[in-house]
Amino acid sequence: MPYGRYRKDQVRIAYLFIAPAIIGLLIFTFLPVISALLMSFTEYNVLTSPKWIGLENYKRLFSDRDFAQGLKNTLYYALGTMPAKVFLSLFLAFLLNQNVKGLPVFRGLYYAPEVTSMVAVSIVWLYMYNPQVGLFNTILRKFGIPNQAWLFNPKLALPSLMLMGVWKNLGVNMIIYLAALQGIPRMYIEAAELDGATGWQVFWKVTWPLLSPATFFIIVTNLIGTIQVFDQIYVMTNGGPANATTTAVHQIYLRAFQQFHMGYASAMAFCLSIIIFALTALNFKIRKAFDY
Amino acid sequence: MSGKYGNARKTAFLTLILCFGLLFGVFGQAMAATTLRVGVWATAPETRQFLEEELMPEFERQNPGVKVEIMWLDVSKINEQLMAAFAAGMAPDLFQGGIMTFPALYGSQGTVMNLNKYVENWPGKDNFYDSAWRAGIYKGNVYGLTVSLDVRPLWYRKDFFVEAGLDPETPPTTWEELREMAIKLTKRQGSTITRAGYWVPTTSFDSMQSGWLPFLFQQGLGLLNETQTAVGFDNPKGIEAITFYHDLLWKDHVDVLGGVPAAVQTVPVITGTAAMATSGSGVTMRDMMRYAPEKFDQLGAAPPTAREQRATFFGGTTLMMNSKTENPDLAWKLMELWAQPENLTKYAVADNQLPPLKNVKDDPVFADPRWRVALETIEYGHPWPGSPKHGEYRMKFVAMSEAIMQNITPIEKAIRETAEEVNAMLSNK
Repeated sequence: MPYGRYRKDQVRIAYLFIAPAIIGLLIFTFLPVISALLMSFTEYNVLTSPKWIGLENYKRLFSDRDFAQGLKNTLYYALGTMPAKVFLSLFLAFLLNQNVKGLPVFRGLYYAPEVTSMVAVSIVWLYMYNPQVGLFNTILRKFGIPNQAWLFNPKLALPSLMLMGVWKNLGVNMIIYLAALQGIPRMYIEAAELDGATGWQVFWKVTWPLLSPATFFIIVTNLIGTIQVFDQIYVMTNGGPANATTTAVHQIYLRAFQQFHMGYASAMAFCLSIIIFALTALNFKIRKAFDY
Repeated sequence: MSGKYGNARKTAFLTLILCFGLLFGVFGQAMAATTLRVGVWATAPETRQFLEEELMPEFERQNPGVKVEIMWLDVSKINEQLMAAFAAGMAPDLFQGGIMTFPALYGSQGTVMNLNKYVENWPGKDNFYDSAWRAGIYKGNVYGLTVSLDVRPLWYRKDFFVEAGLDPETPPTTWEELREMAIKLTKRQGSTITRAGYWVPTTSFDSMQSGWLPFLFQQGLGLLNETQTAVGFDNPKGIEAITFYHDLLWKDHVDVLGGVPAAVQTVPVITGTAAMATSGSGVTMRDMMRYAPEKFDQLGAAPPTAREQRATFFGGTTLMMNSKTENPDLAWKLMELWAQPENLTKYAVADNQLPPLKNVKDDPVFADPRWRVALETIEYGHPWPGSPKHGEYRMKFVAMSEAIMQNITPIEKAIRETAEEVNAMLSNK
C-alpha cells in the first residue's frame, strides 16, 4: 500500500472520527479539572468573586479533623470491601460457570443489584437495618442474638454500609470473572489434570494466574470506585452517627454545597485525586510482579 | 448528484434556517416584555397550584407586560441549585430560603438586596409576629420577608393519656411533668417498647430541632451567644438542658434508639408509636388527617414546656431579592403582593406551614383550637442563629448531637470539644 499521501488522508479521517470524543473530553473533563485546580488556590463561595489565597486551602487540609476522619473511613471502606469483592465475585463466577439448569436466571439475579439505582437500594437497606423490625435483626433474633443498632452504632455503621456496597457491586465483578474464566483455554486445565493435579492445584497453579488480568482490572476499578463512595453515605447516614461514616467525597460535598467553600472543596478533591493516582500507580507496580 | 449546485442549495437552506432562527429570537425577545424570575421551594402540589394559578397570574394581571417565570427549587438541594444559578449569572430575581440563615449568609455577601428602603414605611410589617419579622433581619438590615413558619409545639394523643390515667386536657407544662407523664405513657410488651412516652429523635437535625434545642431555649440560652462569637450553651445550664433530653432516652427509657418502628415514616404521634412529640404544626395536622383520620380528634396540641421561659424551635422560609436584579421595584411589588395577609395565609396553608401574621388568629381557616395553639407558639419560637457561618458549624452541632444521643461521647466532653471547634470557626473572619 502506498505510504505517503494516502496514509495522511487516513490519519486525518481517523482524527475526524475521534474528534467529537476528544472535544467532549476537553470541554467536559479537562477544562473543568483545570478550572477546579485553579479554584483550589482561591477562597470562593460562588456568591462573590474568587480571591487568590495560594496554598492556604492545602495547608488547612492538614489540620482538618473531619477530612482526616473522612479519609480514614474511605480507606477503611475501600480496603475492607476489596477482598470480599474479589473473592466473592470469583466464587460466584465459578458457580455460574457450571452447566446447571436455569443458569441465565441465576446470572440475571446476581447481576440485578448492579443495575438498580444506588439510592433505591440504600432506602431498602435502611429498612433492613432498622433496629426494631429490620430483616437482619429479625434473623438474628431467631438465633437468640439481641437486636443490633446497625446504622446507629458508630462501630457497626460503616461495616453495615460496606456489606451493602459489596452486595451491590458483586454482579459486575462476577461478569468480568465469568468472561475471564470462559476465556481460559480448556487445554491448560486438561493438561494439568492429566499430570495429576488436584482441583486446588489446578485452580492455584493454572486458573488463578490466568485470571490475573481480570483480577487486576477488578482491583483497580473497584478501588477507584470505592474511594469515591458517596451515594449510600448521603442517603443512609449522611456521615453519621457522629462522623462515623463520613467519607472523603462526603466531606467534599459538605464543604462545597453546604458550607459554600468551593475553593477548599476543590483542594480536598485534588488531594483525593492524588491519593487515587498513587494507589493506582502502586497497583500497576505490583501487577508487574504478578502478571502472567 | 453532488457538485457546486448541490452544495449551493445546501448552503442556502442552512442560511435560511439560521435567518429564521434569528428572526424568531429577536421577535420573541421584543414580544416578551419584562420577565421576573422567582425561585420557590417546591413542596406540596397545593403550593404549586396556588402560586401557578393564583398568585403569579394575579401579579401579571396587576402588571401588564410582566411575565413571571417560576424556578422550582428542590428543598433538599437548594444550596446546590442556588449556587449553580449564581455561578452562571442566572440567579432568580426573587428566591426563597430558610429563615435567619439565608438572610445572614446571602446578606453578608451582598448577594441579596437590603430592603430597608422598601419596608421603612410599609404598613404590612406591623402585622408580622416580632420573631417572624426578625427572622429576615441580619445586622439590623432587612434582607428577607418571612413567608411561612414551621413552629413546633407539643403534640400529644389524648386517647393515650386517658389510657394511662392522665387528664387529656392537662398536658405537661414543665420538664418534670413532661418526664413523669412520658414515663407513664410509655408502653411495653415484655422488655420491648411498643409505644414511646415521648418521641426522642437521636439523629440528624431532628435530634436538635425536635430534640434538645427547645429545652436549650427554655433555659434562656441559644446555640450561639448574643454577639455570635461563641457557642452559647457550653455552661451548666446548657449541659442541664441537653442532659435532660439525653436522660429521657437513656435513664427514663421513654423511647428506644432509632424510634419505635411504624408502617409510615411520619411524626410518631400520628402512627401511635409515641404519645407525645415536639414536631412541626402543619406536617403533624396534615399527616394526622391523612394517615389516621379516625383519630384526628384525639390529637392534642400544647404550648411548649417552660423552664426559665417558654420556648421552642421554629423554622420557616423567607423571600429575598437578588441584589443584581434589573427590576427591584417590580420584584418588591411581587413581595408586597405575596405578603398580603390573604395570600400569605393561602400560601402557608397550601404548604402545610403557618403564616407569620398576627391577624390570622381570627381567620376561620385556623378555627381549630390546635391551630390557635400553634399560632400562639410562634411567640415562643426561636430559629437557628442568623450567622453567615451557619453552613460551617451546623454539621458540627449535628455530629455533637448524635455523639451525645447515641452515647458515643459523654455530654460535657462532646459539648466542650464542639464549642472549641465552633468558637475557632466563629473567630475566623
